Parts: sequence; C-alpha cells; structure tokens
Amino acid sequence: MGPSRIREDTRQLRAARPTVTGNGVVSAAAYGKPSRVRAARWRDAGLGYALSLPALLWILTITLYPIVYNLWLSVHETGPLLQAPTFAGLRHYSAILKEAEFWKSLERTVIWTVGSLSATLLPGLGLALLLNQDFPGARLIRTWILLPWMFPIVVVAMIWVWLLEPTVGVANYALRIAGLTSQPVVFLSVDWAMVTVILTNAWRWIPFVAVNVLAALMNVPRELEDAAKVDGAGYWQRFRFVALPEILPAIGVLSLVLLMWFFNMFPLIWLITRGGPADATTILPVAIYKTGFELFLWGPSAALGVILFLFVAAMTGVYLTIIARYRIGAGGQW
Amino acid sequence: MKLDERAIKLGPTRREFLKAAATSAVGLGLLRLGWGSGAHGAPVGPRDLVLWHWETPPHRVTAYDRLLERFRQETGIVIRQVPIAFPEYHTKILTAAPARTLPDLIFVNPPQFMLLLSNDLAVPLDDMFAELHGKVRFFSPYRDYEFQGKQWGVPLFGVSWPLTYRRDLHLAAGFVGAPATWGDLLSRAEKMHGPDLPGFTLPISTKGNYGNQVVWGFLRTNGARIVVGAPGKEKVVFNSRETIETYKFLVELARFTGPGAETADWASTELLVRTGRVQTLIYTGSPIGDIADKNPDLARRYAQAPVPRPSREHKHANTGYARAAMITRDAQRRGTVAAAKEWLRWITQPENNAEFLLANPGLFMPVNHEVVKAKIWLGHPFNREYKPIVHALTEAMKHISVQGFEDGARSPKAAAIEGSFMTARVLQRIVLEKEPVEQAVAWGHREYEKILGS
Amino acid sequence: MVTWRKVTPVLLAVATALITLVWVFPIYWGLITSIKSLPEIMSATPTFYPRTFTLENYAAVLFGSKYVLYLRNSLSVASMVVALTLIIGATTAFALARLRFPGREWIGLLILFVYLFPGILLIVPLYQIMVRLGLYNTLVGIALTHILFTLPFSVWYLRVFFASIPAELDELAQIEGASRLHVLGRVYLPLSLPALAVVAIFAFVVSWNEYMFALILVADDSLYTLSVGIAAWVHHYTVDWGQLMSAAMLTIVPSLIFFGVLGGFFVRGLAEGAVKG
Repeated sequence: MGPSRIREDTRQLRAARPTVTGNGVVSAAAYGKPSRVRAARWRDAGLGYALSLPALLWILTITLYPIVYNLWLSVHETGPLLQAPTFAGLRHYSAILKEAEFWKSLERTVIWTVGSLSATLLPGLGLALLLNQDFPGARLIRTWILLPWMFPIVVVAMIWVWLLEPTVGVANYALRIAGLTSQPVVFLSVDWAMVTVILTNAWRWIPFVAVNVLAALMNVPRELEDAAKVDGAGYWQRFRFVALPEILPAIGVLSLVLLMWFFNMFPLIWLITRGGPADATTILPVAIYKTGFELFLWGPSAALGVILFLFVAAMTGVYLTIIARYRIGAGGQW
Repeated sequence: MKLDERAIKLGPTRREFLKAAATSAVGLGLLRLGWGSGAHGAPVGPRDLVLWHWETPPHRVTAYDRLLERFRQETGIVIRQVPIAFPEYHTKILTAAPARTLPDLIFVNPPQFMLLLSNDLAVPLDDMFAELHGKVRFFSPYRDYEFQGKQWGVPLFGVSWPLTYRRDLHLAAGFVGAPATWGDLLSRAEKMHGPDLPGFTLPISTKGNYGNQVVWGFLRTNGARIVVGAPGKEKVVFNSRETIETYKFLVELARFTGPGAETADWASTELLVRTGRVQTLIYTGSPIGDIADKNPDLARRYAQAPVPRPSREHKHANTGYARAAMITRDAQRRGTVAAAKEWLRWITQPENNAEFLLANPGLFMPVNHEVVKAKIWLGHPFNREYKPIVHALTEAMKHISVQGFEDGARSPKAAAIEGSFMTARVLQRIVLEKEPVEQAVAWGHREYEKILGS
Repeated sequence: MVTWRKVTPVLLAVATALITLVWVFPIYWGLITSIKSLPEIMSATPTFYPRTFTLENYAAVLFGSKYVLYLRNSLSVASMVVALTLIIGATTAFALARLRFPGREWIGLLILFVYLFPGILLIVPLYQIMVRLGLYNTLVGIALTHILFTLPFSVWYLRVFFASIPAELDELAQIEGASRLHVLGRVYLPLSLPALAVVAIFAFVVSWNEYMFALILVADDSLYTLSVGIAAWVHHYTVDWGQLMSAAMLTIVPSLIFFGVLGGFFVRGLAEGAVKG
C-alpha cells in the first residue's frame, strides 16, 4: 500500500475525529437560547482572565523589574558594591560591540545552543521511540530513566569531572585497559571542552526529553495506528503519518523551552570548566557572570545581559513564527 | 468515533481520593512547617552576634561550633556562624550592604577588606589592635590591614602556598633537599619528568584561583607587580621586565607539567597529591593534613620549602593570605562592637587561637609569634609529627603577598584584580594559544587597566 | 536469513545495554564511592566493585553536618513549589486551552518571558524585590521565586495536553450541568494524570536542585536548603569525595520517594492511554 494512500486514510480519520476548534468554544447547542450563549461567553472570558492572570502578573512583576533594572544599570558606571552610579550613556555597549572577545562569545553561545539542542532532542526522541516498545527491562527503564535528571547539577558536574579526569579518572582508566589509548585523554582540553560540556548537558536532558515525548507517544490514538496497520504501513510509515503529527506539539513546546534554557544556561558549564580552558567554553552567560561577579564591572555585565536578552528574544520570536506557520498544534490551535 | 462516557463520570476513585488526600495532608503539614520557620535576619540584643566566613567544609564548621560554644559558656555572648561559599561571599556582602544586614563580625582576606573599607562599612580597631599586638606580636603582613594610619582588621589565621615536593622521589633522582632557585627547579623538573609523573605540576588553568595563585607566587619572587600606588591613584605596572622574565621561565617549566593542567583547580590537584601523582608543585599543607592518618606512609614522603627564587639574592615571596576579622558599621549601629571586641581578645589568646587554627590541621597557619609556642599547637599530633612541614608553612606566612597589596599598594579593586585570574589567563595565552610572551603580557596589562577602570 | 524481525531484539538489547552504561554507570559510580573507604577512593587505580565497605561517610553527613535541617528546609520549599505549580499551572493552562478571551495568545507568550533571561541577571534585582515585599529570609520567598521557573513550562505543557482532549467532553459535561470549573476538575484533571505527574516531578526537581536563589534569599544557614549545603562543601580547598557522594545520594532520596509515589500515576496513566483507547 503506497504512502500516499496511507497519508490519505489517516488524514480522513483525523478529520473525522473531533478536534478542538480555534477557540474551544462549546457549541451553542449546549446552551440553547442565544442570550444564554452570550452570557456564557462573558462568563468564560471572565473566568479565563481570573484563572490566567495570577500566574502572568506574578511572573511579569518579577521579570519586568529586573529588565528595567538591568537596562538602567547598563547605562551607568558603579563601584564594586553597586554604589555611586554615574551615567555612562551607551559607552558600555559600544565598548562591548567593538571587542573581538564578545563576538567570539556570541559565536560560542550559538555553537553551544545548536549543539546541545541536536544532542538532546534527536537522541531524546529516539530514546522515547525505543522505550515505547515492549522488551525485557523496558518498564524498568521507562520508570527510572529520569533518575539522572533528578540529581543536583553540582553533583552531576563533580561526578563527570572526576570520571573524565586525565590521570585518575575512570574513563581514561577504562580506555587504557581496553587498549584503545596509551596517552591520557584530556576531555576538557582547549579543543574538546565544548564537545564534552555539550555531551554532559545532553546526558542530563535526554531522559527529560524522552519522558515527555513518551507521554505524548502513549497518547496516540490506537485506532489510527490500527487503521494504518490495516493499510499495510510499516513501522516508519506509521511513525511518520500517525505518531509524529501527534507528538509534534510536545516536541514543539520542548524545543522552544530548551532553546531558551540552553541559550541562557550557566551552572553546568561554570561548574565543569568555569568557562575555560582559555575561554573555550565561555558562552555569553558565563561572560556575564564573570564580568559582574568576579570583575565587579556591573555596568558592562548588565549591558551584556541586555544584549543576550535581545538575542534570545529575537531567536525565540523567529522560532515561534516557524512553529506557528507549520501549525504544530492539535488541529492547528497553538 | 464513539465517545467514552466513562470519561465524563470519571472522577477520582475512592483509592485515588484517599491517596490524594493523604499527600495533600502531608504537603500542608510541610507547608506549615515552612511557613513558620523563617529565622530572624538580625540578631537580638548586644550579646547575640553573627559571624560570616567561608570555611564551609563540615569539619571546620563543627570545630568552630565547639569554640563558639566554649566562648558562650565563658562569657554569655552568643556568636552565630554563617558559613558562606566563597564564590557567593561577595554577592552576600553586595546584597546585605545597602540593606544594612551585614554581620557583626566578618572574616576577610585583604581584597574583601578593601571592599568593605572603601565603602565605609567597617569600624577601626586601633586601640585594641595595639594592645593585642603587644601581647602576641603579629607577623608583618598584618600591615595589609592598615589603612590611612589606622588598623582595621585583626589577623587570626593564615594560609600559605609554599613549594611541596616528594622528598623520596627527589632523592631517588639524585637531588638532596629542596630546589632553591628557578634554575634548580627547571633542571630537576626536566630530569624527573616521566610519562607517569610530571616534573612539575604547573597549572595553566583559570578554573578557580589555583592557577592564578601559583603564577603570582613566582611573579613575586622576581619582584614583579601588578599595581603600584595609593588607593584611588593606582597605576598598572604589570608589563615590566620582571613580569616578562617570569613568564619566560614559566613557559619552560610548562614543558614538564602533567595532563589536565589546563583545567587544574584545587580539588583536582589535591586529588593528585593524595594519590601520590605529583613530584613537585606549589600547594598548601592541606592535602597532607588530610591523608596524615589515612595514608601516613604517603604523607610522610612529602616535604615543603620556600618557593624557588630566580637567584639566592632575591627575597623570599609566595602567595598567601592572613585572614582577619573585621567589625562592621552595622555592628556599631546595633551596639555589638564591645561584644565583638571581647571575642577578638578571646580568640587571639594563644591557646584559643591554636585551637582555632587546628580546625583544619596542615592548612591554617599562625599569624603571630605567640601562638606557635602554645601548648595545644605544639602538642597536636599532626604538628608534632610533621614539624618541618608546619615550620615551612609558618615561615611562608611571613612572606605572603596578595594581588593588589604588593609592596605597600592598596587597591580598592583588589578583589577584582585577584578575581580576574589574569595572571593565569596570560599564561594560557602563551602556552595554550601560542602567543609571544611580550604580546600576552601587554594584553594582560591592558586587561588590568580595564579592571581598574582607567 | 536475517530478517528485520530477527535483528530487532538484538538491536534492542544493545540499545538497552548502552542506555544502562551511559546513564546508570555514573550514578553507580557515585553510589559505590559513597560506601568505599577513603584510601580505596583515593587509590591510583579505580575499582569498579567496592572492595571496602563503610558507612562512615553517611554518618559524617547525617550526624556531622546540618543535613537534617537542610533536608527539612528543602522539603518545605519543594512541597510549596509543587502545590503552587500544580494549582496555578493547571488553572492557567485550562484557561488558555479552553476559555475564550481577548489577549489569550499574548498572555500565553508572555508567561514564557522569564525564560528569556539568564538567571544570573535576576539575582540582584530579585533580591531587592523580595526585601521590599518582606519575603527576605523566608522559605516562602524562596518558593515563590522557584515557581517563576516552574510555571512557564508547566503551563505550556499542560495547555498542549489539555488542548488535545476532545472538546465534546466539555459539551457533554456541560449538558449534564457541570460548570467550567467542574469540567476542569472532573474531566480534564483525571484524564491528564501523566502530564500532571510530569509537571509535579519537574517542579519538585527544579526546586529541590535550585541553589543560587536559595542562597541569596536567606540571611543565615538555618534556612539553607540541601543544594546550598552541598554546594558550600564543594567550593572549598578540600573535597572529601566519599562524603560528597554520600551527601549526593542522601539528597536524591527524597526525589526518589516523590518520584516513586508519582511514578505510579504516571505509568498507570500511560498504560491506560487516556480516553482514546
């Protein structure tokens, strides 16, 4: 049975399935008279605001002040204890943008983000597909795979630093007795540090991605799967036409949130390398921390922060429009 | 598609309801616990004080608890210690200063001292200091806490970074005693360098302060400086003949360092010392103190000596810190200054001071002449058995140097100068990024100027 | 003949082995380190199977430090965070998914706002706000800070989940006389058990492990949480690996218990496959 036929069938079935309309509005039939419909709509709106505004207001108040504060700080010069602020105009911004180090940090941040996203999303998806099967141990892994993600970052960083230590670390020891290397492998050298931190970060987040996608996978309607099987679809075809559209919303949310988190991520890299060696892993958040909390240059640090914020906002905006355009959402609603 | 009517009638089953209820009950109980257990920010009454420090490892905290408890029993004054991890120390000061919630007593190194001083957050301790100095005769680095003719901090304990080496391995290679000059060090490192054991464990790292501390020690033996001048008028003098000479020496020395030098920090280096994977390095006595009872055989093979100098004519110098206690202006506001001073008098009594130092044997060293004679100090098992090491560490306390305070300088930006790890960064540029020495040093010089805001 | 059918079990076995190695080994390593004696930990050749066994590391952590106090604080904060995240998150998500009001999409986007920031930029201003609100040096203040980080993801995740539930259920329920909130409570929540479990675990773990704000927002260590306590140990000269690992293991135990309790809902929900089965 050809792919086009399978696609057609599943599309028909999906269309037959009641999906949420753009507004989730309950049909008038439920209410009867038009006036009652209007009243119901007003009640809905009121309730909608009442339920969603607390979260929004709390989050906005707590984030608006820092934005304003950092904007203010970025155009001032202060002492190490934030005392004696003097207006500095856009001096910090121009100094930063002229510095080669800044552009290198930005480049590293992009490499880090893209690298981390690929190293996390793709294997995470694969792991979810794997765990969706039935095989000995599947249930056990399904339940406990989140365990590594639950460890405090400090501990994760310490364990990995120790495992990868060139002289007394287990990784090197294992490589040596397996006969694969004779020289100690320095995982955190200037050339390899970025790769190592990307992989360590992926180690932490792959289970999280996998579990989220798995939850969505298990929600895939059985009869769609069965219909596709009847049509003669193989595993990958079933995945493409049945499962994938169902899990795209979950993947969409995950990738959006991870994009923002990774771009802004600070603790893991800081704990493993402090941005080193030789600034090989100094991404923008690390630079912001160093400038503020180690050099006590609060104005420039805030300016870097504003620049980073604008960058992330822009990228997120672009990403959102891409997602929205492809209507990744149950029935087109997002 | 047929709708599942069950879905609508679906509410919690009885079992689920009970589980949910139990969980909520537990949760609410915990909430109640959390709600009420906020501790008060400021202490109450002039005999209830707060002390900040960064000696966070549990055994030090326990040792301090014992001491503070004894003080309380003798005087009725309560001092609550708040251990704060060093990276957050500055942030805590930063956030507490405008809120006037600084502690009554605070431990500092010279850089934090300048920070508090230049923001008028400390109380001068002249009269009391003169009295104490007469009694215990502090080592000369106490002058680091002197400013504009007044004394602002009472040194209580110190950490020094001399040369640490495996006496037995040096002997096996045909070397007796410790290397005294740069030339000695280099030739020994070359001769003793092997695939399993590096000739000299030189950090080329900016992961933490370690790399910075080692390079600084060598820079000081050659008389090199970062800044010169009175506070507010300091000039950067990093780019100098002495500095360039030192880095040229370090580049040579770097040929004999071990793998992982580029991410070396205190933790990884101590691991190497405790597992016997080093021959010569710059370090405190702390790892030796740690393995003294667990691996005495290895511990006894270590020795310590002054950091090698360019020649025997150069003066001794090494990285080190004399930690002092300061009293803050917030203490003045709260009226706890008298109680704080009483504690300072108590803790500088030789026997108490010795016990205080022994919170971490092998690491904390005396900063005055009387405590070395204290019975508790001399009688402690580690100090008895490792007398030469303790002696070397104590001697090194007389030659300590802190960045921003060299040769009488007093930089208010000392905390940023040290926190930038720039000396190590310059070394990285030379060794890892293959930049010519003069160029890298000039770059470092410009970076320091940026930090100073000039 | 080698068919796909025959190869698959082998591949699955290999994959399982790899998963176990990559994810289980580091944890296994931490665990055996916590029960090894110090000389064995420090020995030049690592031992994959502990030759010595000691509980002194655990004793040192449990009795020699303020572990129990920190644990209590962490539990208080985490339970508040989970409760608040679930309640506010589910209600907000429901509103965004089902109710119609102008500006709905904007509200949804703005909720994500806080993720646009690196956390470090929030430290100083957040501290100032908390002092102003009188929440400095309180566990409640820490909890309210943590929900800033747990809410956005939770709201979005639950919203997507709610959106995938067919709207007819709403209609049917309302025809039977249920109000909107009834629909939320009786229809949506029970059907969303796996998603709610994920959100609860997420909120718990984020709060449990958070350390920057938990440190800055308290004045003395009687309110330190576990992660702050552990971080404090790591940051200094000496790192006793045995103690650190046992502290790590002890820190993770409550997360495990929480996960164990919720894991039941989670797996059950997955197995039942919601309403479309």
